[in-house]
Amino acid sequence: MSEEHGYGRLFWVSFIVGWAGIGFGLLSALSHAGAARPVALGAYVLGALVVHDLVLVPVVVAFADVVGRRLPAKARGSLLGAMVVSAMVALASYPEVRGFGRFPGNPSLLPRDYAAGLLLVLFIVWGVTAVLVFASTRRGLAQRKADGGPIEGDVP
Amino acid sequence: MSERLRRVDEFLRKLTPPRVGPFREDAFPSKLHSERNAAWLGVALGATFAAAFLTGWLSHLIQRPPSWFLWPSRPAGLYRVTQGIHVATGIASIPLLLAKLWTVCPRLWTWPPFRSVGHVIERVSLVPLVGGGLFLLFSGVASITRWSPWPFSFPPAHYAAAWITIGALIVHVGAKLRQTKRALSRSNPELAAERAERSGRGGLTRRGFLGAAAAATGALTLTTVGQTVRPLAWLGVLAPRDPRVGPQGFPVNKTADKAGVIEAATSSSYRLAVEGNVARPLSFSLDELRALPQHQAELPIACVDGWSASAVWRGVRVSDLLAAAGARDGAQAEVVSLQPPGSAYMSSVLNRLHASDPDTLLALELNGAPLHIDHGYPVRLIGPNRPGVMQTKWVAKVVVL
Repeated sequence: MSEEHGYGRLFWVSFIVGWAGIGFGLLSALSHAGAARPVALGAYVLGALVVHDLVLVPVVVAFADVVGRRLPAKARGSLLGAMVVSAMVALASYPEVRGFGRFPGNPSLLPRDYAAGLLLVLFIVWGVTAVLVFASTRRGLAQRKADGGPIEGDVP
Repeated sequence: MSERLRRVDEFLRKLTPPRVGPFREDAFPSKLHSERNAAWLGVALGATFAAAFLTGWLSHLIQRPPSWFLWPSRPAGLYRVTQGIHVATGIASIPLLLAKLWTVCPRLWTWPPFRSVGHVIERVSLVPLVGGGLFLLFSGVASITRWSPWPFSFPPAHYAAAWITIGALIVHVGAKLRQTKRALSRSNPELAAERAERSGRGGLTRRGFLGAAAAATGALTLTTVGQTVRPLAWLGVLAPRDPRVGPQGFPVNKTADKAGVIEAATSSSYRLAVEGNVARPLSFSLDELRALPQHQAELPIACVDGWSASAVWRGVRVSDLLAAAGARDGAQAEVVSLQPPGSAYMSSVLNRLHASDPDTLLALELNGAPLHIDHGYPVRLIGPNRPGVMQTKWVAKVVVL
């Protein structure tokens, strides 16, 4: 990725407008301090940043590195893609699967079995991935056969 | 002395730029950290965050209207659409934001960290942008499942964070617009490299990664949007609500038990008062209300949590009650619940457009049967184009302002 450090008029205008918005948000939190609890809110915002950048990203980078290398080469792209989709859907639905907000007095809240819902989505994601891997493997074999090349083994 | 300084200089030169951990030049070898992917994801996030911000701000204005803001009562389903968009675009942003942050994560370790005043501003503004964006999505998703793992009240905290985040987003757009245009132009050499990539041995391609983020966005949208788009309700396996489930086939947000109104709502001495700025204060028993002219309207409940469902409501027109009490034309009214004083959402104001709308009712029936107590028995407010939290349940009085 290349860097660009020329800051023109648009940037300086956006800086003034944007920080006015940030200032309005800070003022809003401070003027409703009893409800918005600005110190706690600030801790959550910074905490989200720290947890994401210093925990989640390194874990994902390390996982992709370690697992990615162990996946069968021909299917590596599709399998990593399926993992990305699965992880994102699982993360977004985690509060529902755990039923954190559920309470017995209101059965209309979180009325479904969300673990089953998540499994269904993952089943579809991995089913589609399996079909894609199978199709691309067949295509590759047919191509190599037509080219008269080797059809066995995995050239690194 | 000079020899010692020389040694310090040399030592610092060896440290700068650091060549350890994520500062190593080869620390992030994946081609997926590409400028074009960052640009595409940025454009998508710009759209979803802008839509979520505008619809969220609108919801805030409707619930706490400043003097210059008058929310109309028509079209009846408008709030249902805007708040549905707010929650749907928020959910859709989750994979997009995660993918975007992963794509640009090597930038966090840029060395030297600052190159100019503009660069300082740009990078400092990333703190509220990234922290705020993550917080908004986390708090939004938790809130629609009624999970509150925080010590603050959700609406003012989410609102303040939204302004902080959108302000930081404006700075970011100003800093990156030129670079984004260049990244997405057809003359960008990355485009040819991207086209030449084939899935397989090399792992995930750049387009494959974008496709995975898009697939996750699509999957989450399809499996949640059924909570407000009723024909897709059967697909809503990850939706926090099912618009078909609840007492009388209709979801409930706050139950009568939780609101602490069961005794007052079921008392035989229940009376509805119409008072305030009126010529003739009125009071009605439930039987007297039933004896008044009844009006029927099909209207949605559109919850701030993003779910919505329509039903047929039957009851007394608010405009008829205000006229009977001798309220002036164009009067506003506050509808107050039986809930204990100080309860959240225990009253709501009908502006002049809502108070005079012929479909704004004090409903006694839902889908042809008396209201279930969790839907506001004996009397609830229902009107067109209002957030669910402003459709006050267990109504005790109407105070003309």
